[in-house]
Amino acid sequence: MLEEKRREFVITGVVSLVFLLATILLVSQLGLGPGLIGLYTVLIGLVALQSALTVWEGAVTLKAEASDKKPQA
Amino acid sequence: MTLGVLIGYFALMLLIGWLVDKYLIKTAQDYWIGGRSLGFLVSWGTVMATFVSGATMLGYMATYYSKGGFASAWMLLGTFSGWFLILVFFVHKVRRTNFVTMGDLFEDRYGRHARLLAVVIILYVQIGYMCIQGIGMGTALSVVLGWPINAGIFIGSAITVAYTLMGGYLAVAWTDLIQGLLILVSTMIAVPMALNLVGGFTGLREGLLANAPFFYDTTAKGAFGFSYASKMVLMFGLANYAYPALFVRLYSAKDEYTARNSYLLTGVVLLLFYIASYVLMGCVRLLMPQIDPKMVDAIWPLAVKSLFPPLASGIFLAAIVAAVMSTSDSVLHVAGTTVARDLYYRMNPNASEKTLVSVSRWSILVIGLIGMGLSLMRPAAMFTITVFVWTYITVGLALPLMAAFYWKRANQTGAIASSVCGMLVTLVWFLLKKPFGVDEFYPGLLAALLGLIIGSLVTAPPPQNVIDRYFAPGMSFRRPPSESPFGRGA
Repeated sequence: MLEEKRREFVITGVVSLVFLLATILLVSQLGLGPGLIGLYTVLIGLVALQSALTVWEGAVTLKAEASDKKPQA
Repeated sequence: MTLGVLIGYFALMLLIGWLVDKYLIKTAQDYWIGGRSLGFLVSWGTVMATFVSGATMLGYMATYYSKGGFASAWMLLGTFSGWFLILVFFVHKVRRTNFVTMGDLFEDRYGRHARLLAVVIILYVQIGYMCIQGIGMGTALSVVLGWPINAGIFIGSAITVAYTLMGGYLAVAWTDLIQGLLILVSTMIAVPMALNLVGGFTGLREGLLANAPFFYDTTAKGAFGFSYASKMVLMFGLANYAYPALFVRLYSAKDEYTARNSYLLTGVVLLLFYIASYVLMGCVRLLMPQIDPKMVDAIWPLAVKSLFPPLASGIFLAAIVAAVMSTSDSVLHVAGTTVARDLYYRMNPNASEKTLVSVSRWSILVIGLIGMGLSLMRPAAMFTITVFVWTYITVGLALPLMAAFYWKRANQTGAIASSVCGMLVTLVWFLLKKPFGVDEFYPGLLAALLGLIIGSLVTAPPPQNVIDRYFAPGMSFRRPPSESPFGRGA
C-alpha cells in the first residue's frame, strides 16, 4: 500500500512537471500580447501552485505513514 | 477509413461495457461508484474525460474560433479557478463523508427535503447536459461522415446508453480512461500537423495578426466584454465542484490520496490540452477563414474533414466522439444513480441489490431517451446550452454545497431558500429579457446567497451532532453499514 502510494506520488510529481514545462514552452512560442500573456501567466501560476501544494501534501502523508509503519515492523 | 476507425472505437466501448457487466458488477455499490475501488490511473482518466465534453471539443473550439484569445483565457481562468477550489476546499472534505451521491450529502447535512430538491436540480441539469452531448455527437458525425444529424444523435446516444447501462460506473470509468487518452493523443498529433499547414508558429502569429487580430489583441472586435468574462470566471469557478458528474468521482477513488492526485493531474494535463486547442483553432482560423455562422459549432469537425488525411481524420473524429461519449456516459450514469439511490432506495430501503441495479438501468434508459429526444429538437447552440446548464448548477447547488462544509449556521431552510430563490430569479430575469442589460446569472447568484443567509439565520441552527460531524477536526464519517443513515453503500 505504501509502495503503491510512493509510486503514485512520483508519477504525479513527474507528470506535473513535464506538462507544466510543455505548457510554458507552448505559450512562449505564441508571441502573445501583454494582456493575454498576463492571463496565461495567472493560469499557469495557479496550476503550478496547486501542483506544489499537492506534491508537498503527498510527501507529508507518505512520511507520516512510513513512520507509523516502522514501530510495527 | 474514417468510418472504419469509428466503428472499431464503438465496438471497443460496447465490449468494455459487456465485460464489466459479466465479470465485475456484484453489488449496487459496484454499479453506482465502482465499489469505491478506482486506482490512480482509472480515477485520473475518468475525471479528465468527464471534464472534456462535447461542449469543450465543439462549443469551446467554436468560441475560440469566433472570439479568439481573450475568450479562451477567461473561460480557462474560470475552469481552473473551479479546479483549484475543488482541490483546496473540497476533495478532502467530500471524500471523508464516504457517501455515494450528492443527494446523500444534502440529506445528511441539511435534511430530507433538501435532498429531494437537490435531486430535482441534478436531474434537470444532467438532462440538459445530455442534450448538449447529443447535439455534439450528431454534429460531428453529420459533418465528417455526411450522415443526417438525427441519425448521428440516435446512433451515438444508443451506443452510450448501451455500455453505460450494461457496466455502470466501472464501464464508464474504464471507457473514460481510453477516451481521455484518445482525446489527449489526438490533440497532440493535430497541433503539429495544423502548425505545419500554416508555416509553424511564425506563420501562425503573422497570419493571425494580419487576418484575425482578436486572437492576440484583448481589445479587438470579437473579444468578450467584462460582464461576460466575469461570468465565465464566477460560473465555471463556482459550478465545477457542484457539477454532479465530477462530484461522484471524489467518492469512487479508492482513497482521499488517490482522489487528490487524480484531480491534480487532470488539471495539469488539461491546461496543456486547452492551450493546444487554442493553437489549433488559430491554425483553423487561418486555413478556413470563412464559414457559415450557423455552422460555427461544427468548426472542428469541418476542419477534421477538410484539412487532414483520412486516417488522421478518423482518429480525430473518434476523439470528438470520445469527448462527447465520456461526458455523456458520466452524466447518464449519475442521473440513473440519482433516481435509483436518492429516490427509489429512500422509498424502498429493503430493496435487493438486484432490484437496485435494475432500477438504475431502467433509469439510465429512460433518461437517455429523454436526453436524445431533446437533442433531436436542438433547442439552441451548444455553448448557449452549456452556459444555461452551468448557470443553474451555480445558482441551484453551489452555495448550499459550499456552506455544508464551511458555514456551521447553514441549515435546511437556508439551503432550500438558496436553491429556489437562485433558480427562480435566474429564470424570471431571463424571461424578462435581462432588465438593465444585466445577465440573469448575477441576480440569480445574489438571490441564492441572500436565500441561504436569511433562510438559515431566521430559523433554528442545525442539530449539534450534524455540526460535530462536519466541523470536527479530521471529519470522521466512518461507521459500519448498520449505523449508516442511508444503509448500504454509505
